This record gives sequence, C-alpha cells and structure tokens, in this order.
Amino acid sequence: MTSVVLGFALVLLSTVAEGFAQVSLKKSVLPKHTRAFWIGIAVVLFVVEALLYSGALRLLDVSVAFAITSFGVVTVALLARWVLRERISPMRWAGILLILTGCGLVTMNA
Amino acid sequence: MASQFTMSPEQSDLTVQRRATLIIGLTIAVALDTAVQICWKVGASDIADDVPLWASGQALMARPVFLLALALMACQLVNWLQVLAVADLSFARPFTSLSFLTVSLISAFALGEHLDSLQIIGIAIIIVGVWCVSATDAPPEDVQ
Repeated sequence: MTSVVLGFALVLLSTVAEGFAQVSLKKSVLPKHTRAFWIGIAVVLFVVEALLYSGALRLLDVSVAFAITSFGVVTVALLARWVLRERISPMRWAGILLILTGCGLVTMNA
Repeated sequence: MASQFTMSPEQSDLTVQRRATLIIGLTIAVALDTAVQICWKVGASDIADDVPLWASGQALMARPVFLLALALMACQLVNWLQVLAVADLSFARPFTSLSFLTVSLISAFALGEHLDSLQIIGIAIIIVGVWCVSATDAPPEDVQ
C-alpha cells in the first residue's frame, strides 16, 4: 500500500470516527439515553478522529487531507440515516452533495 | 433559512422558539468552528512535521493559541448539544461546512492568502448546497 493510499484511508477513517462521534452527541440529547455516557463516547471518538487525521498529515499534503475531510458531511448523513433512522429527503441529499463538491473545490488548491 | 413548517397555531410559539434556537445555534457553531480553525492554523503553522507525533503534540500544548482553541472547542460542544436538541443531525451538520467558506475568506482578507477562481466557484456551490439543506424540514421526529 503506497503512503498516499494509506493517508487517504486514514482521513476517510477519521471522518467515520467523526460520524460516530456526532451520532453519539445526538443520542445524548435524545430521551431515554444517558447524557454523560454518550458525551463521553463522543469525546473519545473526537480524539480518535484527531489522531487519525494527524497520522494522515504525515503521509499527505495538508491541502489534499483537508479536502478529503469534506467527506465528513456525507459520512455523518449516512450514519444519521443508518443509526438514528433520520429521514433524508432528496433535496437534503442534493444539498449535502453540493456542499461536498464546493468544499472539495475550496480546499483543493488551498 | 427557509425551513417549511406545517404546524397548528397552538404549536407556533414552540416552533418560533425552536427556529430561533436553531438559527442562533448554527450561527454560533459556524463562528466557533471558524475561530478554532484559524487558531489551529496560526498555532500549528511553524511546527516542524518531521518530528514524532507525540513531540509535535507537546509543542502545540505549550502554545496559548492552542489552549484558546481547546477552550473554544469546549464552547462548541455545549452549543452543538443545544442545536442537536432541536434539529436532526443530518440537517445541522451540513451547515458547519460554511466554516470552509468563512476560513477561506478570513485567510484571504486577514492572512493575505490568494483565492483563485476555482475556490470562488466552490464557495458559491457551498452556499447553494446549504440553501438546499435549509429548505428541508429541520425538527427531530418528536415535532414532525
């Protein structure tokens, strides 16, 4: 595995960690969920996200790594749909994909 | 934000309150995210990247700007929980992408970085994307 592919995989994994952290935060405000427990899980996952991203920065150019982090918006939406059973309309998906494209363009040459 | 709510009149006060919480919360979330990223950028800009991860972490911890970033992140967490209490995660999270836009603009105007035409097109696409998300229903299931 080349270092670029590994770096790419690490950034994508960091967005998955962020996705689960965000799902945990959402669970902490839902009824019948232990608030402190889910916030604790989220904080741990945010630390994991930061470590994975820091690791990726050693293998990738910072502008490339930052561009890939924009996938986070899609990862979070997919996990919200899968774990929290949120209904996501086609309009919201369109917005999310436009944001992904825009963030990619903004960060690519940054 | 142009969220379309279909509520009975007796629910309207609650709706207005939720919508106000949402607009204020999302605005604060973008502002705090922007501030954290700028602090991070300033704090980490001259740390060598050929030292071990642990050493660069220690170098960061010694900087006031990084400690400020940590304090801002704590504020971010408290504010974000308020937002998530009144909105779906898949609705709220896309708004935080506006910080890509604010960080680019601040970097261009305050830090003197160049914005090329591709980045300006990207900013316009982000704005259209956020508008699309804002046109969908925000509230979590209990008020839908």
